[in-house]
Amino acid sequence: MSFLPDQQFQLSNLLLFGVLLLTGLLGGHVFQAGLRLPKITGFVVAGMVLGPIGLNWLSDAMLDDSQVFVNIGLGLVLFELGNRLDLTWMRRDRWLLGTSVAEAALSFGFVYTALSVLGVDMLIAAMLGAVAISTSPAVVTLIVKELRAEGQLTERALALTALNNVIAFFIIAALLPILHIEHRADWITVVAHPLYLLVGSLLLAFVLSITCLRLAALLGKREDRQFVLLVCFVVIAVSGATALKLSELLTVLGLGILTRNLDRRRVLLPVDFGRGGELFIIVLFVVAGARLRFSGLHDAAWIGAIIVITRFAGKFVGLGLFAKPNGFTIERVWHLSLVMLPLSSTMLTLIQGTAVTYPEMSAKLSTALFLALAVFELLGPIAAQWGVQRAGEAHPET
Amino acid sequence: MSELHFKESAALSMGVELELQILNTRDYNLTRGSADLLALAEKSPHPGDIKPEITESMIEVSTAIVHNNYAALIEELMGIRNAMAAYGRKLNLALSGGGTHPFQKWSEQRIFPKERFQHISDLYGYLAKQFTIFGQHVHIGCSNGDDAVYLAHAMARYIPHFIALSASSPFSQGVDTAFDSSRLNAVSVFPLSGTLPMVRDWKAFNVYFDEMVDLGIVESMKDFYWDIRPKPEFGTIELRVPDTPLTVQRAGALAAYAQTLAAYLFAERKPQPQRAMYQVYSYNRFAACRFGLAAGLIDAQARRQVTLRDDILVTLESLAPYAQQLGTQAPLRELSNCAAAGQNDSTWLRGVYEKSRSLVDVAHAQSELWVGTDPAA
Repeated sequence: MSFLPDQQFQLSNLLLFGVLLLTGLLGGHVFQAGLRLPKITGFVVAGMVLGPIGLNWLSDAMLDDSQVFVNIGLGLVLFELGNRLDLTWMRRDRWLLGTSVAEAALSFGFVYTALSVLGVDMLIAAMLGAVAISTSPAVVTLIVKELRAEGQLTERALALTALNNVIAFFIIAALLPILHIEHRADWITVVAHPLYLLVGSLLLAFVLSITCLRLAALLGKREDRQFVLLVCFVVIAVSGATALKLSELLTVLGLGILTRNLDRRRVLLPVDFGRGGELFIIVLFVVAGARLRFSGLHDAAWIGAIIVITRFAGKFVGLGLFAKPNGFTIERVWHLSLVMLPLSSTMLTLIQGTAVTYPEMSAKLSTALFLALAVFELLGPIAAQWGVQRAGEAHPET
Repeated sequence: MSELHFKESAALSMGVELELQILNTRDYNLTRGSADLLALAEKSPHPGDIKPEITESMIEVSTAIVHNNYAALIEELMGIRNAMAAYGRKLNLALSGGGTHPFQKWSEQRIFPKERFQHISDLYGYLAKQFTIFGQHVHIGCSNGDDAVYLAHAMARYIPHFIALSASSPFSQGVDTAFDSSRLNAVSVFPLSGTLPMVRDWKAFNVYFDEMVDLGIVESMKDFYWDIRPKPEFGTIELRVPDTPLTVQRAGALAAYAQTLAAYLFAERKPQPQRAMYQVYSYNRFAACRFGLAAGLIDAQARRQVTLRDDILVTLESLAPYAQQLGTQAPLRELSNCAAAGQNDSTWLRGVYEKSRSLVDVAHAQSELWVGTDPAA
């Protein structure tokens, strides 16, 4: 009876992709149509239902298998966000860069200070502070798309998100040497690793963006061809960065920023990965939900709560300091802070990845952050949606 | 019913209103930006006046209606343009001329949150969003209501000139419409579009207006979307057919043409309205929209067809003495060159598309041209 399936039924990667998508679709539908909440929260909850805190149908091994889809989804989001960042805007409105530095500095400063005061190890506090700087590119771009949001608050939120991801990455890279020293690594690792990450990722992004622009010029302004071209380059950037042990985040975000800002002859059409891209993004959030853990959090719960509160306070005060030059009232600053509330889980992955070499570090960091992350994953999209809607920038028909 | 008060103003004074496109700098589509631009403009001194329009991706700028000479008008127009460009740069928005946006989707547009616009949207349904089109209005001062009625009728004969010389809306909703000015098609669908009724003076006009109010069709003069209408509160007639040109220079030249033509018409004083002219009015208007400067124009009095291009050139020539008096020779020469070459802004836009095969590039190029950078240079 060899034609019958094996008794021990294995979920193939392809079937896994289908299951994740279908669950995400249903979760998103229930939240959007039934509860009038963002479908992203629905995707995350669907993941939680499937994952260890729910039905436990998804093992860690299966989640690792699904990482390839997650990486593509994240790649598309990061590229799109980077591609929306117009560097000439920073020159035309210098307050924007000032705002970015302020909100990043205060998010870091508030979280770091609060944790230090509470006796958390300084290096861990600094790492958590760096993570707290970044806003989730996936949540913000998706909320903006879902609500068809347009306006100054939306544009500034997207630009500040791209910038705070870059800033967070640089700070984490800067903290790495200290981490290495604490663990008595040799000096070559101390200096070379962060340098390799930064320079290598940016160089790869630069080479890919130049090649991409050349090919786009060759292929002409045809949406069908350019769509395929860009997906190819995103996938190459993600896999290239992984293979070279570089930062996927910086490489793909850099690719997006550079293809936009080096395109002097305007050979690239505006980017929209549309429904094709959405497939991977659904999986991205479902897996993020499935990776959430609540066990063993009792000790770290208070740290999580502190991170949530101080991070929001840091963003609010940082953005508030520059309210006037940005033409924002305090009410608008409040809305913008809500839009920027979702935390980037990519940054968490980044420090987890870094800390693989140092398991003790990894445990400390992840435990403290999981609760905060859970709050941000579930409430972040709701806050962001509310902020965009209250600012009057969502399309009335959404 | 009390008579509409016609504010006395200096004859032949002129002013310009321009409806502008607000674009994002990513894909150069229309974007919601008027409220942000207005908020910024409120805080900093700028020449002219800035107002919202029916949808949030439009903004209207206007000069004072006090200009007797072209030089002062163009100076104010350029000042407004530069101020708007500076606001745009800060907000990362591009501003642009052009009668239509080449590829915006009308259904995506949002009605500006203001009572009057909401009322228009409730009354006209989808037509309100389709009214996301961009025109230039030229005001010419008149001493009294009778002169305004006379001038509105006398000017009607030249409406095709203004259409063809300003035409900058060949693309609409992502396609080449084959029209030089597709914008006016979106105006024609409104029930109160068209022309001034066949009244001879201000008193007769008031009788008509009172009737329309009594019937509950209009509440104010604003409800008429005529090609030329008297504007009693400004003491002007308002010429509403031109597309917003791609440059302020062209907008100024069109105003100068209207002013010089008005001087000529006031001097000439032929009896108005002329039934024969209105008989061919709609056809001539259509031909100018569709074929631009190459249109065949029916001259109802001479009972013959001439090309619009030639008619403009002949008219401009006959205006020479008045142009000298008013100091409008230079702008009229610019229009004469444009007619002689048979090239208007629509020709330019089609040229950009021909080269790039991308409407995004067309929108980008027209926004560059608006701020004074010729992207072809």
